[in-house]
Amino acid sequence: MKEMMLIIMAFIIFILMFILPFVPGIFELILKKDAAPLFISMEYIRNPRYFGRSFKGLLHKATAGFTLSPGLRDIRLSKDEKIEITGPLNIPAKKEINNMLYIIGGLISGNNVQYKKEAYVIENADIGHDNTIQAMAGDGNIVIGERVNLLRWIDANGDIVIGEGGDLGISVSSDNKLCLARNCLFRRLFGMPIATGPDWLGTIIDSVELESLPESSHRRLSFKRKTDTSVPQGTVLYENVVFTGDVKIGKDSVLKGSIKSYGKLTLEENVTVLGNIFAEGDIIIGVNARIGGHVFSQASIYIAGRTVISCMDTIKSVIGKKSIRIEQNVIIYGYVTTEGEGKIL
Amino acid sequence: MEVVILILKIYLCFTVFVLMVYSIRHFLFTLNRLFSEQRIYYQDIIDSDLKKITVMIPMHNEEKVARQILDLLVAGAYPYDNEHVDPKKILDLLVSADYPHDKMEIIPINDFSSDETRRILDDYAQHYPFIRPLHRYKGDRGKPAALNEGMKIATGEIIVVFDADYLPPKGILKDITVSFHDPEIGAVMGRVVPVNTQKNFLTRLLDLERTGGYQVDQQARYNMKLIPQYGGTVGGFRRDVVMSLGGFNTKILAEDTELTFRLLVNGWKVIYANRAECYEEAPETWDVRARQIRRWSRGHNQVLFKYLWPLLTSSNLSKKEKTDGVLLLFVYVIPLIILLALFDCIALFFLGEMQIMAGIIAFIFIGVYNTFGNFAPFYQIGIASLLDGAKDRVLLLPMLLFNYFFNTYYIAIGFLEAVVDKITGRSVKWIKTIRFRNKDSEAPKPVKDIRGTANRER
Repeated sequence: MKEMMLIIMAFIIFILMFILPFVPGIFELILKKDAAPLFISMEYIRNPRYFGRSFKGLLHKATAGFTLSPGLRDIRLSKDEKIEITGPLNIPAKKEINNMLYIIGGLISGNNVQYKKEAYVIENADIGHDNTIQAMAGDGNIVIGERVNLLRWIDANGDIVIGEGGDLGISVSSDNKLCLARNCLFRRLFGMPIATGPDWLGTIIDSVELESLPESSHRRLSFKRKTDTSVPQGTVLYENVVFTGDVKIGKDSVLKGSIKSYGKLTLEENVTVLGNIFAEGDIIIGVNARIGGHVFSQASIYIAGRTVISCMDTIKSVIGKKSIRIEQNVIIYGYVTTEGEGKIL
Repeated sequence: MEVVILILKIYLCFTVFVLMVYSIRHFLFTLNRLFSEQRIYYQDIIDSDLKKITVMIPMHNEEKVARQILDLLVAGAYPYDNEHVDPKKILDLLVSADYPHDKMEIIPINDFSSDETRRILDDYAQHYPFIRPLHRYKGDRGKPAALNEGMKIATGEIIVVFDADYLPPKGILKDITVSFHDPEIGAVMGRVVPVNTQKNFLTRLLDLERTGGYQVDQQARYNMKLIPQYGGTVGGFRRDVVMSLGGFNTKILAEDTELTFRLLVNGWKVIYANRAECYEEAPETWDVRARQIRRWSRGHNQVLFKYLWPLLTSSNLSKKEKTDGVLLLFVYVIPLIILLALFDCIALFFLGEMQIMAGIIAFIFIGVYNTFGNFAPFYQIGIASLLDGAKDRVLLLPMLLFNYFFNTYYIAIGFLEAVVDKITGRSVKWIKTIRFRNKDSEAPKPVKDIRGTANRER
């Protein structure tokens, strides 16, 4: 009898031990606390001007119900906010702005002004040195002095010009010119074009005659895999090429297709690539390069002076996972982004 | 008798070795996703110079789902009732669609349908000039044959394929197509997410399986420059390349896996896009799941027989790609190996010959394997769920045991069928997975939340 009891006890313990791991799952099956499908945004589209457009969309929606007369109003964007609606505004130096701004006109801001909330400027904005800006959207041009501290983003329909030493937050975007001076730090830039250095600022950009880079043979079907570590000076390559390791493209070479490297890719002076550039390692682009397509690195990108990437009315991207460093006098038509640090040298 | 016992023991040791290799593989992939540097996909590339694409949707009696996928592709919006929508709204939706319609054509392939599919496709073609249905009532049936015929009339440089039950989000065409700027990419695979997760016990288990398979397995392979697999839907390939390689093989049930290996041995790369996420309808009954997994196993093993040697001897692949390729090819053989090992163990037990290793070594080995080896696939799925920001669904992990035994049985049958195919050279018949969505209802809508967005961006 005792033995029988022991066997029954052992059996019950076995059953309990067997069932135990399933108990939490059984509860989850009944309660369905985490049963919804993983969320996919069905409407999501990549847009380099997302921040500005989304903010303006929310703002216009929130202010649609009342006339835009000057004064402090309560509105609801993603949360309840106070917004100051005003005409053209001239903010003296060292002032602290605590409310969101809706400026029906232009904005002139002195030095050392701190914007604690977003600002929307219908006309041009002229921002002094050492300003701290949460986020700013503008329908006109935005000119910003030296050492701006941008906490989130700036977006303008017109040109954006930013002085030396700015920390450019998450994103700076414009459908027109985006001119950046020395020592600016960035994560994402979008401009048509993005230009660095004093020589390219202002009207000079319009007079630069950019070589038109035609639809090239980089769309051809095949590619050649090469183990070479260098391409001699003045070489012309007509096909897409994949290099299996580090490679250096000699100066004055012309690559009519796309190029990919599984190591570090170096373009010496005056190299033209009509297609795209991909590399698993760093990409070093030498002086006076002309690139027709995208530049994409799983590591870092360095772009030397007098380089032009893409051409008028064509958006291409420069993406360096770890960092992007851009010298003075570079023009890029399109989008630049890095997960690491971007810097104008 | 001694020879038999020796063979049984050797087989058991072989099984243990194979299981160890696959356990290590699971751990490597999972640890890679947790701690290693992640390679970025090309999704951030913004381009005004888009390639011309053809979206192909093979359809055999798909009246339940045809409207929904076409609506999503046409308008880039969530499904709406096309018969009652304001025409002006359609125009707005067209304008807001992500991929320009002059760079896109949609070829829904009506493959011997006997239901309303033909009429639905013709209706859409009347409204949208870029929808060009292909009606097939001659020739071989099945997805590979349908795709081959579709490719002949396609004008797109890139072919993007969706199964008819899929719900493509607005930006997915660009996300998939952008990778073809890389000159050596032959095919790209996106991520499949079940939309009917909460339907029943089976769909919840399948959701976990998919999570592990994509969030960890495929992404880790992409990170480690191994062999992500083109899965035949939510993916794209270069039309000219695939046509120049002879199109899809109609004699193989896993045309997607076959294409993966054909591209690889011919020097092209296949990559994975974790960001290109798309909802699918997972099987809701066990018999439908059984047929699906059996077909996958049969097709995958046909590919194994065909490509093992070309893979090993290809000069276009690195050693680590070959190693991963071999392990990938044998994935659908493992269940049979395990099943045979179970019988092997029983035989050895009753023969009193279970003691293969002596004393402490056996103890340590079994202890280590039970602690880590058996844990490996569960660890992978658990971590994948964690990366997705899911919480309570991880509690279902032990229940994957049921799925494991179920899959083992049907995969083993699929393997044996593939062996018979190989020996007899018989032709295979494509069997479509049954849809569960109600014909007149909208696709199930997911609950919006922000789980795991950062990790799923990768």
